[in-house]
Amino acid sequence: MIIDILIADDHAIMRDGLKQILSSCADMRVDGEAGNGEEVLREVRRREWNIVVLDMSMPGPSGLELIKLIKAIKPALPILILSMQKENQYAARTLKAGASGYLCKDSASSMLVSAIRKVAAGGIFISQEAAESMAMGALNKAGNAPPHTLLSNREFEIFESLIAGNSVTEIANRLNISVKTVSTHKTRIMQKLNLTTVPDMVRYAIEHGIAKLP
Amino acid sequence: MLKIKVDDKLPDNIMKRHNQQQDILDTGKHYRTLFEVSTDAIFLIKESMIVDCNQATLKMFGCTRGQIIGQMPYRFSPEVQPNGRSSKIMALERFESAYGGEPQFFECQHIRYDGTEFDTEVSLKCFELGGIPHLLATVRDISERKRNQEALRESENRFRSIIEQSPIAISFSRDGYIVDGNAALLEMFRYANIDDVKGKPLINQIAPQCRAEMEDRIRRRSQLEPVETNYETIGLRKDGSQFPLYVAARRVMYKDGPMSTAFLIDFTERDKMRKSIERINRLYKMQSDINSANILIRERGKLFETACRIAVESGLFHMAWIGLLDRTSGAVVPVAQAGHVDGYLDNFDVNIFDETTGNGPTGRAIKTGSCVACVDIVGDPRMAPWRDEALKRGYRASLVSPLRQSNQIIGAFSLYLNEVGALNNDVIQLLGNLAEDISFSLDFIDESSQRGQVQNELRELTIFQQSALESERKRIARELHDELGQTMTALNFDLKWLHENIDMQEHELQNRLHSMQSLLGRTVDTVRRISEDLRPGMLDDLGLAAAIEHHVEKFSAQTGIACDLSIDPPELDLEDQIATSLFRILQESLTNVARHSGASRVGIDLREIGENILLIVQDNGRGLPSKTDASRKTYGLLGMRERVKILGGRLDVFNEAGSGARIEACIPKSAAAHVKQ
Repeated sequence: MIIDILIADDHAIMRDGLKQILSSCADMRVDGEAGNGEEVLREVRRREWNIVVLDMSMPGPSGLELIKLIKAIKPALPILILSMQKENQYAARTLKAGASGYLCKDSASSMLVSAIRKVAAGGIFISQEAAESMAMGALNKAGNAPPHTLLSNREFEIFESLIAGNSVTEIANRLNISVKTVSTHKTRIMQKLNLTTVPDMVRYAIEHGIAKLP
Repeated sequence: MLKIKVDDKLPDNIMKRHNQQQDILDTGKHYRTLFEVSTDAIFLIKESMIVDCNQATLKMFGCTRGQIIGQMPYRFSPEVQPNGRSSKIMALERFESAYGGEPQFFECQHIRYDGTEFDTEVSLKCFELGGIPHLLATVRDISERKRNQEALRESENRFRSIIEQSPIAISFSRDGYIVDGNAALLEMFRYANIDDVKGKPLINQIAPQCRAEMEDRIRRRSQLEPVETNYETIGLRKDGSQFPLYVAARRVMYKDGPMSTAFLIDFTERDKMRKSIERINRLYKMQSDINSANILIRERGKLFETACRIAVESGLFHMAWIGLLDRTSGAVVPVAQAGHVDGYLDNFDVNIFDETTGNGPTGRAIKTGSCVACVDIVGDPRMAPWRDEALKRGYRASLVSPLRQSNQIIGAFSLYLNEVGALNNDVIQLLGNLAEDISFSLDFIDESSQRGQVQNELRELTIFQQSALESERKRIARELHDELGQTMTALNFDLKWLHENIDMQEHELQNRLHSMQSLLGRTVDTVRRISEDLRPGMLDDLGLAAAIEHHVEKFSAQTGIACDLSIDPPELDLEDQIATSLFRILQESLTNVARHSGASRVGIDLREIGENILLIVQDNGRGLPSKTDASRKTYGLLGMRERVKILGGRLDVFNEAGSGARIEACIPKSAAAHVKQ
């Protein structure tokens, strides 16, 4: 079975290089080329492809947007992103957007053929490094800290006083700061916790175990 | 019967006539002594002629015996008595009555021999001497007593006239009935004659609504209870009109019993004064209100409206309006108004170029540059074009002050009163000041709007420069990365092909190709790094979250500072300008952490909360230097602040107790919308 490949890159020299790399593979055929986003979409609509080898940045629609557009037309069409960017963020995000593989052009000459085979067969291709980073990212994003961790020490102190039922004036007197300053803090606390009233604050505090029900 | 001895010094002719009575005179020798020691002048009159007199007579009249004996007594009186009667006739009448058996006692004026007059008291009695009726006249000098009496009368008159002419109304009353009063009292109550009030209840002069109180006062006073001596009440004039009356009453004991003396003052004038003071106070309040408004208001139209509103609310004005002069057409166009306007300004026509409407108070104020007061709209010819409409709305007086801006008259502040007589110099001066205050504020607004404009222009310039810088960096970064990088990468493909297709035995060639490949690879990396430093392509390709993630990873790897990054939600769809700003703020913050903080850990939290994006960078270093020793300029912070400010956000930089420095940037998500040019 021959793999029909659409190569999309705005640099002709790059397209030529890629074709040259693939020319030694009998099972691959570069049957179409595109120099910008619109051409890619036109080609994708025009006929069936086994894979699109897509540059990350091109004139017209490009990058994540272009991936989504292609996927909208042909959800099953595998996309291998070929990019100048080495950073793991690219791999993670392009895969998330719908691409099946991510290859840095630096590694193209040695990895392109195997990447195309893997992606065209329905697999995922990313570098070892990117795979590790994505796994770490998934771990790290296990859960964000609750909003009250965003409060500064002073804000948290005032937050505790407010939910304990102290007035702004009382707090100002106790902390020996101006009423205006306390009010400003109060506004920011509300903003950070995305709340609008003191009862909301009390409810929040109980829900997050900062205050206990009386 | 008195017997008098006449001494031998009597003139001869009399001596002759009275020879036969000599013995009688002799027997009355001790009477003679009495006659001589008396201080009163005593003389004998026979047939209207003085026939004898004592020493005192000579002394009193300043003459010798020869000069007086044989004279008619009225020779020693002025021709006419003070009562206007002839002395001679009066004397002869008195003599006749005395001869008729009626002793006479009367006052009469005499003259001394030298002609000086003096007052006397005269007694005339008739007696017979040798069968012939004589008159014994005793004359007492009473000029001393007369003088005393005169002085007393004068003093009495003086007091009487003081009371009578006193400008203060004074009444004397007893048991609530008026006994007497002065002219001022009559004038105060508009009575012509004292008899109109005398003997009548003083309550008649008190307004009906105050009578009960007054009667109570009279009753308590008569029962000797304590009673306020000074009080205010309302007086009632004969014509029925009423007026504020001040009474100061005093109880005085007279021989015939206690009497109440009251001093009454018409307080109409004082009330007017009080009103005027109140008015001035209100005006001062108005001025102060307008001035405090001036401080707060930075917008011309609003200032005008507030000035009008305050003039009506805290001033005493019925209506207030501000008109601005259109310099081309000369029309004065109302721009603000308050109070009882009632359409007055709807068809209002004032044009300073017009013969009629241009010479009304407003036109004159604008043309002359000084206050114009219209004390009574009814009689003021300048108000003719507007009079009917003005009176219909109850305007009775008006005051117009010109308004200036940058020393040029731009319009007028007009105020209307619904009463006549309230416009005095104080009021006019105060309003003049007020117009000046407003003018001052206008100048200030002008200046601050110019300043604001400069600030806006500066900000716009900053925005422009920042976005120009960013887009230029973006362009160069792209060029480097895409064009140069791609070309070199493609070149590398060829080198690789060459490498693979050259005879393996050509070691030298193989080595050269290998070193070319690695050199090219390093060059591509350099280009990539330069491009990245200029502008992270990721920001455009993948968005803020990815760019931050990458930057933080790189930062951590380069500095060895542990980073806790939290982004919520994981992908943020933000306007380019907000994303760029947040990225630059983070970049700057981390640079500072690496350079100055000595921190080993830094927490980065990027969060979307409601309508805001919040970025917090908190390190565990030594914190920011205190403000006092912050001698070096922190351009980095300044730049961050400026970025945030442009986007309508807030940047807080402070030390967190026990942790280190903390930077919080909060930017509204909608910010970019109104920054777009």
